[in-house]
Amino acid sequence: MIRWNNVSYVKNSRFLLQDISVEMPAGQLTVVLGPNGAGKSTFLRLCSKEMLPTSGMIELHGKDLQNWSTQDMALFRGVLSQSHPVAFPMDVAELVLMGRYPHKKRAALDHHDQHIVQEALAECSVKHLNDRSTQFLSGGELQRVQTARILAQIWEDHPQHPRILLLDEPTASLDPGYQHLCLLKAKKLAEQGVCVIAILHDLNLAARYADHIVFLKEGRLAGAGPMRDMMRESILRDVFSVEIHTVHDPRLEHPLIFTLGPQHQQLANEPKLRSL
Amino acid sequence: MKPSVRYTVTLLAGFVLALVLVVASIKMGAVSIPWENFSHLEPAQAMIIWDLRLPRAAMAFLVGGILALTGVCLQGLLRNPLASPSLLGMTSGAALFAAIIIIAQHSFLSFLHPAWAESMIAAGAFVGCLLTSLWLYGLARQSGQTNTALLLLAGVAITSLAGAGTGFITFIADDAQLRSITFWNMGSVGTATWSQVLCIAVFSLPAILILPWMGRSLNAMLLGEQEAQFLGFPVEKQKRLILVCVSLAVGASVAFTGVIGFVGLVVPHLLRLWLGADHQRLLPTSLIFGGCLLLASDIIARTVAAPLELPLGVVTASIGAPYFLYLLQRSARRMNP
Repeated sequence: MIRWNNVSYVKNSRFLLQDISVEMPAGQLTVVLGPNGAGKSTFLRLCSKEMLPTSGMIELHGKDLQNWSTQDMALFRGVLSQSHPVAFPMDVAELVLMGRYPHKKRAALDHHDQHIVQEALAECSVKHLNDRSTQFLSGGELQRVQTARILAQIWEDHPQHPRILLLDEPTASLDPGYQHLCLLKAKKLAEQGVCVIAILHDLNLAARYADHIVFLKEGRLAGAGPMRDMMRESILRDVFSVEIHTVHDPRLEHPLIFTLGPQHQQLANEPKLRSL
Repeated sequence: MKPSVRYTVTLLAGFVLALVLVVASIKMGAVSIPWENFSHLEPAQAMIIWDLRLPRAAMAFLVGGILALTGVCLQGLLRNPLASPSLLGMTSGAALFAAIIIIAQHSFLSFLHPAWAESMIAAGAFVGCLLTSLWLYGLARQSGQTNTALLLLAGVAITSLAGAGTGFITFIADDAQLRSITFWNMGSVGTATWSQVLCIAVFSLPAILILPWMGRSLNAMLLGEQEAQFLGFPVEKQKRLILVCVSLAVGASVAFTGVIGFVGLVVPHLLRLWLGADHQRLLPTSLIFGGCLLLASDIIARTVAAPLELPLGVVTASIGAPYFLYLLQRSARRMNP
């Protein structure tokens, strides 16, 4: 579990995040939403201890994040950053195997680790890329391979702490099918007790998979709570400053969200859609 | 062939090659020593072997290994295949400081025992190397991130700045000093003595003992420094450790052999093509093959125009550069068919 207590982050004497108190429970998929420049990436970076807050305190499993060592955290926490290319080409299996490094300090990686790597590759449906070099992968394939690496890192339960998974736009370069697959996997992990935090831009994906929503706007908390309470037209309109229309599809449990652009007057005359 | 098998075979081949080259470097040269004499050497031959050729071979192997090993480390650390001690200006910085120390020694530190004088040059070169790398690192670091393009550009600028400094010292130097200074810029292991070899060995001990074990963290850094941190590696600490080890070893090597280019660039690149990017395999093999390459180059340098000797830097560049270009062309073709 990650808890923020009055956290602010200042850079160049400007508040990137201001006075945020929020809680991201274990066993839930928390999605961070907000317009560009709202501080979503900063939010995730503070969660991952990449940066330290200017004031306030972030707690990880009840202990100040500052007091956690990188080595300890690597045992139960995976972070999927927005992918940058790998500096030198290497085999996909080799890359995913790196996820097992934290678990073997000096010892050689063994069959158990190799097995986990294969499982993780299968989980992200990139098993066929096993011996491929990273330089010949497409953006989406590389993203899935990196996801497999993170999964391999937190494949097993940690004896003391619930696992943590931080995802920075995990669906950015994926096609619709894989977007769902990726978030489905994240959701499944959350059901296993992992604390999953993801930044997303797609409101419908967020509505479909999130348990918990955190809205950020201009560096401030614009709302946080269970998905059902948060994905409402009025809140979304406030946060994104755009006309929003939600529709209910009988096959889905969650609302479908449409953003209406500047010409929404004309669109509003379309045949009636039953609003939620 | 499985990668692990290929690695083992390569490592063994490296050891065998090193042995063969050491024997060859003892036997070949301006005075050839026939095989049958090896069992009972004449005093002159014994002197040639023990005091001239063996320290020379040891120095060539050691320095070559250091240059390749540090090349791999810097390339991994900076995530750039172009990084090497010479391109980043570390060797030029070391040469400048070594030149300053030499001038000082000839002018007002002449009372020092020769052994002390030698280690002072090495220490000076180390300080030069460390200062250059720290300066470089500070320049290229922006808000916690190391900007690699900036780093390489700064390296080029520092190289020319240190070049200017060395040039100025050359200008004010007298004949004896000039001879010692010109020595580095050519690059040579011709004056190797056991005390110099010992000095280099001591200074590069941390690099040889520590760096080959940094394979996993260098692998992780290929993903990005932040990613390495997420995998549990104390990146900042390890970066500093690597830089200090590299500076120590490169500084000492440069102090006695001068600026030898290309070994640190070619050897890691060749091995990367052959073994893949896994640093756990690259580090030990580059140490051995770097040594082999420089030893072989030295044999060529002193036999090709015997009894004259070509400068070592000339040989490594004229063998290394064309082959390197050929490989680049080939791999470029393979990537865009």
